[in-house]
Amino acid sequence: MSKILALYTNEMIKLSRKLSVWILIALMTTSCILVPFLTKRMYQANLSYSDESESLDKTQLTKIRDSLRESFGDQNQYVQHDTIRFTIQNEIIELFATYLSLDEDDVYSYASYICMNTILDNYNFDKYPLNGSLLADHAYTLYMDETSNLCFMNTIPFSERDNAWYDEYIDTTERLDLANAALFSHDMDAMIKLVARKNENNGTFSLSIWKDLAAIDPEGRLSIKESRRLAEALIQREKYRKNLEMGVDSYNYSYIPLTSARRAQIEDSLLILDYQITHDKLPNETTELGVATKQVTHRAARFFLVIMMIIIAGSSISQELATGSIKSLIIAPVKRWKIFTAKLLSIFTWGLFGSILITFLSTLSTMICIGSSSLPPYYYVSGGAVKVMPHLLFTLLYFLVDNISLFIYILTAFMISCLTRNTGISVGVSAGLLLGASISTTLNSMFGHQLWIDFLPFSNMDLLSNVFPHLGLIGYLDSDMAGLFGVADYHAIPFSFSVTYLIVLSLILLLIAYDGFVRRDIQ
Amino acid sequence: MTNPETKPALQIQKVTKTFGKKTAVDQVSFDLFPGEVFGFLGPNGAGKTTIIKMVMGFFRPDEGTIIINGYNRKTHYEAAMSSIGGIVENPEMYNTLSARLNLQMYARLHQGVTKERIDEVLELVGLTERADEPVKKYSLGMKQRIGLAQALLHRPRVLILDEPTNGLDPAGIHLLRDILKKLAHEDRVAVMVSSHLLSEMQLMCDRIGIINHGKLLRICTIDELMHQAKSSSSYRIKTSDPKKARDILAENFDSRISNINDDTLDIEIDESRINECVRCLVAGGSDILGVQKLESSLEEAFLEITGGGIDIE
Repeated sequence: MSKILALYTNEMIKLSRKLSVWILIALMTTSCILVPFLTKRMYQANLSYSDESESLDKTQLTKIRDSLRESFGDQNQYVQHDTIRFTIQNEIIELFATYLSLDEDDVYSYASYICMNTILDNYNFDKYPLNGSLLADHAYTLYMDETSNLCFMNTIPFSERDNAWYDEYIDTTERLDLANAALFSHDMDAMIKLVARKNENNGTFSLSIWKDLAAIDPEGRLSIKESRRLAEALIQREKYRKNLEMGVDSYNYSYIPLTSARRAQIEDSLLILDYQITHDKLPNETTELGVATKQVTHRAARFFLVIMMIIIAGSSISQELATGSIKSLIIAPVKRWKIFTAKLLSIFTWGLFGSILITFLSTLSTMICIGSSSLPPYYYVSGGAVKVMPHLLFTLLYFLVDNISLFIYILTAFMISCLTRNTGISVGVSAGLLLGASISTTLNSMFGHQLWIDFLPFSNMDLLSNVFPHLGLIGYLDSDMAGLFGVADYHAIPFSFSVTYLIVLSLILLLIAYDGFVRRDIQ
Repeated sequence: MTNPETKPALQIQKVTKTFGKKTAVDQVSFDLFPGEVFGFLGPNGAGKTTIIKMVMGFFRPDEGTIIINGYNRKTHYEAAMSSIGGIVENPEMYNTLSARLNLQMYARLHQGVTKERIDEVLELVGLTERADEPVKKYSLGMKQRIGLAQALLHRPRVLILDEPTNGLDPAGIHLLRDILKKLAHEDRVAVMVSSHLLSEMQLMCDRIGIINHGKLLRICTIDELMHQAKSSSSYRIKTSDPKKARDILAENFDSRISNINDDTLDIEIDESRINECVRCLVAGGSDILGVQKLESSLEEAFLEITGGGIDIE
């Protein structure tokens, strides 16, 4: 044991004197520090752009109204009314519609024009910013729609108006009334009635979503972003419910029967989502930015880490053989398996060190750049209740699982190094495997899922989506759940299969490496 | 000096090693005793390095036993290897690290090597002043010295040096020779040196083993080899007329004439008959300007043992 410790100390000294190691550590550190700053800047630039497009105040509305009016320039003589009262006052509207035999575009412009006039006169911009909440935004769109509808109906000549027309006409005016109430009185009930009447998924959200939304936010006070997020969560919840009800899993536009494991997973997701909705713990703008920043940073730094580890592991034995420095190890009174063990342990230590470094740095710099509240806790279900895992603990576990693929890459590079005793081959082949890892995704998409694809190492290397099935619920991007080098096809490969596979694979790699170094002669 | 009562420090018993179809070492057995410098002599490719690499743990022997300091290498690897030190081919260190750090790292793998001992061996090989430079700045000779320092660091009972004089300057060779002799004769270390240079062996070794084609052909002391050489020594006789001298000897004396030059004549006779030979020449009227003994017969003896005609440089 003391011999292994001595060898291990020596190996650590040797690795710490490698220039390539320090260059890659510098790159890892740099990307950990730089990427969050870049992400933040890009986000801010994007934010100022999207803010402009979303806000709609009185001045802007006036400008739009005026430009609309200009387009009516020479038709002004026909325009009898600037406003329309949306009670059933058939004569007035009929009059205007008959006088103006406008084409479709002009009807739409005219309808918009009178809508804006009405809004400018009657809307309380201070109380509810227009477009400021989902309710206001939607009511505004529907109000415009119904007004246009009404105008179009009025372009139908009297001779062609039958009973169906009158039924439709009454219906439209009633809908317009509801839109009116929703817009000007901010009446959520009116909005729900209107959505129910339209009886189709005309808007973004269905009736049940609106009902859920109204239950949480009866006055429609949530900002448009917040309520959109909420609505998306509600949609997701409905989707989960539907999946459970139907017993299928929708995946890539196809339907797969739910396995019992997947059913349990969806049930958990549903519980968490419920918890998030009722406790106001849904991802928000800050946490979304925080999570995305951390993911991007971690991924960039991790790329350098994997390259570094492939170089270290791939050169560990072969470089010593090439330079001949292995001699002083062979001559020493230590058994060869001890050299082997110490080398492997020292490589893992560096991998662990690098991994801790990037995990720590990417978390820290995200917290500095985006804010400490930007990193959400992870939610999981235990014993039928939703539990909260603090972000730091979650990060630690995430990092352990994330390192499984790193471990396999290290073993592969080390094995090839022991077997071929050639640094170029071992580093080259391992780097090739790293870059070619996406092959299983490609194969999956080319031939559909086939059993043998499950037996590729790459298909089993990502366990993140198995260990953390609810990452998406706190805003982790799907693509990252696939890990840098794996595929998140959690339907196809059961967790226990992947774990067994990886253990067997590691043992085989170790055995080949052991045979290559310990049992063969050193030339 | 060889002392049959002492237990051998290194025993090699019927060791065989094949590479593919080629038998590199064939049933080699010999013992190495404390206090002697053993020379391993053979042409290039004879199997010297293969034997050394087997002793040092690079190769596993296909057959046979290696016992170091009483421990069987196979069953008590670490105990056996802890009493051995040496250099195989060129000494290779971790080039980016300093000599001192290299030694410290090596010392960590042995028991009881102190910091003072590291300073001591650095002093011994004369590298104290440059010990903190990275090894890549060293010349070949300096690398040999640091290799020797490493080999001696843990006071091994058996010291094995493969071509130790490679790259050393004459002063270095002299130093090495002194160190080895002192180690063997004073500290009772068993020293084994391999070389293809006979002259070097002559100056350094007490016993030599001659190897060719993987077979150990002969083990003898330097004296025995010298004696074999002496039994038919060459003499160079300087005379104004070598041809005349040749004719006189051909008529009156039983000897072999190996070479004739403008003013010299080389003959091969037994040492005891040289007086008789000169008298015969003088009697025949030849003028003797000088008689010189030629040492080259040692090499001839070597060639004779190894089968001759091989590159011995």
